[in-house]
Amino acid sequence: MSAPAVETTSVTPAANPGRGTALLRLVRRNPALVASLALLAIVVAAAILSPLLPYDAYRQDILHRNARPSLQHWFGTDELGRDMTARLAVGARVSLIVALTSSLIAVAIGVVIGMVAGYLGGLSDSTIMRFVDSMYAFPETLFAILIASLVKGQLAGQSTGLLAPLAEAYRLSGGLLGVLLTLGFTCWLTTSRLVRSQVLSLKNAEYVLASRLAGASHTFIIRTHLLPNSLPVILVAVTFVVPNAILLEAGLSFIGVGVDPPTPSWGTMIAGGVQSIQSYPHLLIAPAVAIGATLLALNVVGDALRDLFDPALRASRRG
Amino acid sequence: MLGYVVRRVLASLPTMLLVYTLVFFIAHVTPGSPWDIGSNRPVEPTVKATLDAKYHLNEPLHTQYVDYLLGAVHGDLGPSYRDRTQNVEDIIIRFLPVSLELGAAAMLLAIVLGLPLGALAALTRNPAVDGLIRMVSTLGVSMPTYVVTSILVVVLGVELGLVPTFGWKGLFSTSAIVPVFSLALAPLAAVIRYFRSSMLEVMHLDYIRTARAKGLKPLQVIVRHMGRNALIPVMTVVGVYASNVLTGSFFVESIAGIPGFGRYFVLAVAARDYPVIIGTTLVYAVFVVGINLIVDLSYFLLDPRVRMERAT
Amino acid sequence: MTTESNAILAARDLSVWFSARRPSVFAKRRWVRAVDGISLTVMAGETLGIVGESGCGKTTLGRTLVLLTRPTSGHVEFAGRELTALSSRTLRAARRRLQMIFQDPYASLDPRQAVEAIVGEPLRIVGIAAAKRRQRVAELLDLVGLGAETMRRLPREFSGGQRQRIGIARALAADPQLIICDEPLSALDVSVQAQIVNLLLRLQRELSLTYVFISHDLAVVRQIADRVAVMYLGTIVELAQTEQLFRAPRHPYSVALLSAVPTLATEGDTDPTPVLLSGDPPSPVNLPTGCRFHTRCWLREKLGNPAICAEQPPALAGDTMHQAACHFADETAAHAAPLLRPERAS
Repeated sequence: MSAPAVETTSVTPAANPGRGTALLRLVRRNPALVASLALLAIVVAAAILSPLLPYDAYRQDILHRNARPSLQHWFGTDELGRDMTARLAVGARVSLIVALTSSLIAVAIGVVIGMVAGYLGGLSDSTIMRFVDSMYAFPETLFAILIASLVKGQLAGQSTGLLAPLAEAYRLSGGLLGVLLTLGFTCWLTTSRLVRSQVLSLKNAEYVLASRLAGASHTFIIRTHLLPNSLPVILVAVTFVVPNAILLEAGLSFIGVGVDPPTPSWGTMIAGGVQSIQSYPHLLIAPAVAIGATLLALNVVGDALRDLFDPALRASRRG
Repeated sequence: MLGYVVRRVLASLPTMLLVYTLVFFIAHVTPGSPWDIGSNRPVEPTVKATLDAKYHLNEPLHTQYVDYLLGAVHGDLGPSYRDRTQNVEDIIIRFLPVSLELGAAAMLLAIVLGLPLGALAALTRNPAVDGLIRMVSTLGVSMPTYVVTSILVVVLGVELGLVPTFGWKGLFSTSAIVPVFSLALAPLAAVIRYFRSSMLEVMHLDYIRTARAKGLKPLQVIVRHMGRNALIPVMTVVGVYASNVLTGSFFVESIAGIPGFGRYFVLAVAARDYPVIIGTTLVYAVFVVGINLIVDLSYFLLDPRVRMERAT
Repeated sequence: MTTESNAILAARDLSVWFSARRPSVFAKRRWVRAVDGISLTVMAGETLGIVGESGCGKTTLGRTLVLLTRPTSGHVEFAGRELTALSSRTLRAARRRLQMIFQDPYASLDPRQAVEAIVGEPLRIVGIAAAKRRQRVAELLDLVGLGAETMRRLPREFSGGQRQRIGIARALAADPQLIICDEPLSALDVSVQAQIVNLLLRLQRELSLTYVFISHDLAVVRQIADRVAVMYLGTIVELAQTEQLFRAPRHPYSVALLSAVPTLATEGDTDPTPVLLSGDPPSPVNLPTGCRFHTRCWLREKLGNPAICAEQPPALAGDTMHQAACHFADETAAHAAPLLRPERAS
């Protein structure tokens, strides 16, 4: 350590101030973002606090059905007299659970497939990607509808053998399990492509080569190097998948292959509202606005997150 | 160029086959027989046996697979199970034009409005204009079509009485306003976003400065130099949304009461009408593949680099 | 099956061919011959330099010698074992004592790992416990001239030279016998280069290391290498003891390379004009017939374009100290003298 040729190890402070400060600056500069975050916070609060609301979402009150919004019922009541506010709140819970869980499933599937395809390369990669391309040719909504009816068909009726516990879970969840599985199997495409291209570029990085030379197994390399360095991309994928999942769920429930009644989902509420569009428009408008506003907020936040990660992505690659 | 087209068409055949296999499998694995009317009354076994025999449903699955495929290639998509007097291809021919009209009008609107608005947002020095256009486009991208349709139908139809709330009287009637606009909103927003951002990228490049220094009029610069290159990413987006617009019409048609193909499909799924399900999916897949092909061809025309890469 | 008793690494007829795009499905398959039939031996304790222009295949050769890239044909032997015949799993264990230092200090370290994790990884892979690892990492960092306080930091906080040191420490963690240095100085400032060269030399002395030093910088190679191999378009055109190569090259390409090395002029010196090679290097897909260099060879021109150059590829020939692949290797020296600067008293 005393050799004169050694350069002093003065370490320069990090050029990037870190993501925390960058985030705060972004919020101050971007009011739309703040509004969106606030809205999402309200939605989450409503979902969590729904049992505390004055009216029960399932209690019917035929005498007061189809009431327009008033001080008593902020969003009115539906065709069976159930309080719309409460139903919207429970619907929020359904949407959130659906969004988060199915995104998790979809992203997990996408990461596995993308990682395998990218890492193995060659014939496996071509085969898998050819499969993914075919799936892209399949219109997403169509595919979701088909899978949903398949899942419902297998789980909703009487089932035997292996599927029996799943069917029980399905019943208990009020049809949610079906939607979760459907969305999970439909929304993984984008994630797999994103992860695959990231892995393709990472796999020949010099530090990966160094790992291989040191004797690392494939699982070690994936676990230690590829996955952590793919996190920004995975997060970007999540920002795409979550709003898409909510959208699809509502669409499926709208058609009738989503959650089962009486579970309120914003989609089923829209479907119900369409029936009385002429006479009681508030039945339609309330859930429509709820879902539209939530998706808008999610997209704004997603945009901001993507912007945040993009320069960080580039910077981290450089240094 | 012909070679390119032929190769792409050939490459899409395995894709189509895979799609068909998937749909076939899904449609047939779903339990319940198509002859059950409603979920509570399974059909009588003898009736079921006769019908099954007539429609080859008692044959092994792989035979049905091949049979149907061969038929489909010849344009015979089999009879609908719900309404056994009609063949699926006739149903498609009857209902599809409306959906296509709707979809095409929506895409056209999106492009015709989207390109100038996107260019405006990129080129304007007024940040308010840019901000406004961007906000509208974010809104458009986030709102699901059925939400927009619902709101428009309620506001314009029920409350203000400006448009009929149900039915379809052709593309050039008031009944078309709400559906076309709601379908167009998402692609419109996407076109604006992508065109704006690619114009912004191109604007700063050196060859644009050269063009302006040469003395070209600004409009010429925009159209001849910037437009072409900025269009390339837009074509991708158009391709993605074109296929979305076709399927998004499910919801719009149901809400606005349009006798189109989407609505028919939804009913078919509920009734387990296999031939309609499979036939529809195949038709949609053909459309998507066709649209992708057109988009690829447009790259070919717009981007000389694609042409050159092939030549090496 | 090595001929020399203290040869540590041997490559025999090593070829690495990549398939190139064909104009159509019906044309014959085309190949990029990145490495084409190379044989060489590396002796224990020596530094073998490999020089050449960009694109001559030196990096590919380096990677193939450690089997990071699988050769299309040929053999690589290390410490008596034939690596090319091993399965992936056995290979991993067999080549641990073969390590590599990479060119780009900004890409060779995982940006998300702290220095301790980076340097400790080879130890972690063999299952050494965390406490022992930390101790060893501290030792290694000390060995390369970095303090133990750097262990918790991320790569982005370090300069290029420091990162190379971290990379060297990582290579040393596996207790290597041979280290392939793939252009480790190319991305560094000149002053830092000197420090790293000194470090490498010191480590070689202290740890009895063998180096294969790949570079396009002849001056550095002259400083550090015992023997030098000159590569052109995937083959070795000259292989010699360092001073022999620099003083009396026997291949016209080496002459051209050497004459292009800039040196400081002193009073009264008239620098000879460097030998300019005509034209661009041929595409590695469409190699010239016969000697690969003949299309740009100044010697061939001087000798009146003899036909043999275009017809027959020359083999590496000469004595054990100095070999060249040229039909007219003996004439090279005579014709080269006026082109090379006279050797200054060093």
